Amino acid sequence: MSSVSVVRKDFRGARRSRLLWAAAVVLGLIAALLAYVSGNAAGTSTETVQSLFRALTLIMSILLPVVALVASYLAIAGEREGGGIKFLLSLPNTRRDVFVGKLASRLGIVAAGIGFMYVAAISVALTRHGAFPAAVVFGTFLVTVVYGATFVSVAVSMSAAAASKSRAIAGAFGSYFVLVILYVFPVIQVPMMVRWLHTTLLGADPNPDLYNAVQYTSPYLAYRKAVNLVLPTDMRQTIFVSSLPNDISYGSAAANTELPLYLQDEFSVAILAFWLVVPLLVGYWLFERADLE
Amino acid sequence: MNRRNTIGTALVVLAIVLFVVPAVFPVQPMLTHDTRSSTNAPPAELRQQQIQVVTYENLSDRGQELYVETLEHDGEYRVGVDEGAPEFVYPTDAERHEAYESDNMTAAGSVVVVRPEDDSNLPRADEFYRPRDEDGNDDEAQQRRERAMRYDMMRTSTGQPPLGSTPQLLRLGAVMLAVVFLGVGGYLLSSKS
Repeated sequence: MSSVSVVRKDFRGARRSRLLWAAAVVLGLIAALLAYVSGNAAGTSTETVQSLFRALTLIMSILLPVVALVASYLAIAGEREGGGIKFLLSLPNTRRDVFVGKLASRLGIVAAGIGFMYVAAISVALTRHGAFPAAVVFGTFLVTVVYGATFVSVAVSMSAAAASKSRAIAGAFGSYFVLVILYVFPVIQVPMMVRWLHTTLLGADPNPDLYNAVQYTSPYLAYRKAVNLVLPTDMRQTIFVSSLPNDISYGSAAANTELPLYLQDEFSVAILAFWLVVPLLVGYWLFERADLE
Repeated sequence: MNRRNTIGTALVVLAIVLFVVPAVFPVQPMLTHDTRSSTNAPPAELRQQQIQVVTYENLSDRGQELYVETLEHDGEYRVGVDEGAPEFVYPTDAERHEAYESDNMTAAGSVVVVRPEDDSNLPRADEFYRPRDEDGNDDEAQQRRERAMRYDMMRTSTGQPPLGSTPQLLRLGAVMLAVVFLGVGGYLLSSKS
């Protein structure tokens, strides 16, 4: 019951934040505009809407971590620095109640933001194309909520472990850099660094599977691969091109099945589950041991 | 505080209406006539390619009217789905793609209108002719030029009106307003004491 009261209080506080509502509106407008301009490719209306939601997930893969981190990084650190944690931890609330309540509340906020975007995109898609491919729409929504939840998990855990707001901010920005930017920035990318380490420093022969496996540890790439699980086969994104035999065409089912098991789309579920659970366990463990005085 | 609630509720209701109404009334597809593409090929070659070749006189009244309107509208003219001409086929993008794949050019929505010898009562054809080296002497080039101007290629299709058209912009505007109203209304309702 105590966790519920923490959720209720935290959610009520977040609902009053003008900044969060503004962020939701901006995300909704982006989704509406994207849905409006997309869809000139040849194909049926259903295929057009499916490709629209695939494009939406591409935008979300970059934007959503920012939203989730910003919405969550002060969840506990803010209370700790402001002194509110003493009230929160007064009887009958335990540290677990606070941790679980804050996590659930921030998850709800991020899921609501994603829902906001989806409502706008669905409305424009129905208006422009009159098609509603439910499996792809709800499938990408579910995968996107899980992706957002991984970053909420990271941010709440860092917030629980940080003794001050500044450390929580540094942790949030650092995790965005390490988990997203290093995989999309063209000059410095994780696979390039691993390749350099492997071939130049260690003098080994190039091993594309190894470099792809290392970069597949990122929730960013796991999300993009997980989206493939809910898309029709011919719309799936081919990500680990260097691990594919030359005679495989990118849009085929073999573009996934020919990869080693640990690079296949299905493995993304395990990676997302890791980022969902492990940071929480570490964060909770550190929060339990922290001196809050 | 009551005023805040009233405005917030009104905005949320308005947002829901603005989200739902355009989705219930989607943009209707239109039939497009496009004479901007051209051909220099002789009629026999066109028929061999399964492209429909029709003399202007053999077009129905509606077909003639649509052809003239298209030329008068700078080569592109759209009408409602039930306002097309019976002799034209109007494939969607997917159907056109399928027609190309199956080599069925008749279904791809290309028609060549053969203009009358004396076409002074018709708008000028928008075909272009660029002389090539292999066209030989001036007479052959002249013949090709005349043929290009006489055999006017027109593409017909079914599709969405352009993004800048009024029906599209109206619906986008409604959804954008709905997003803003939902955000503002939601904030007003949530931030009440």
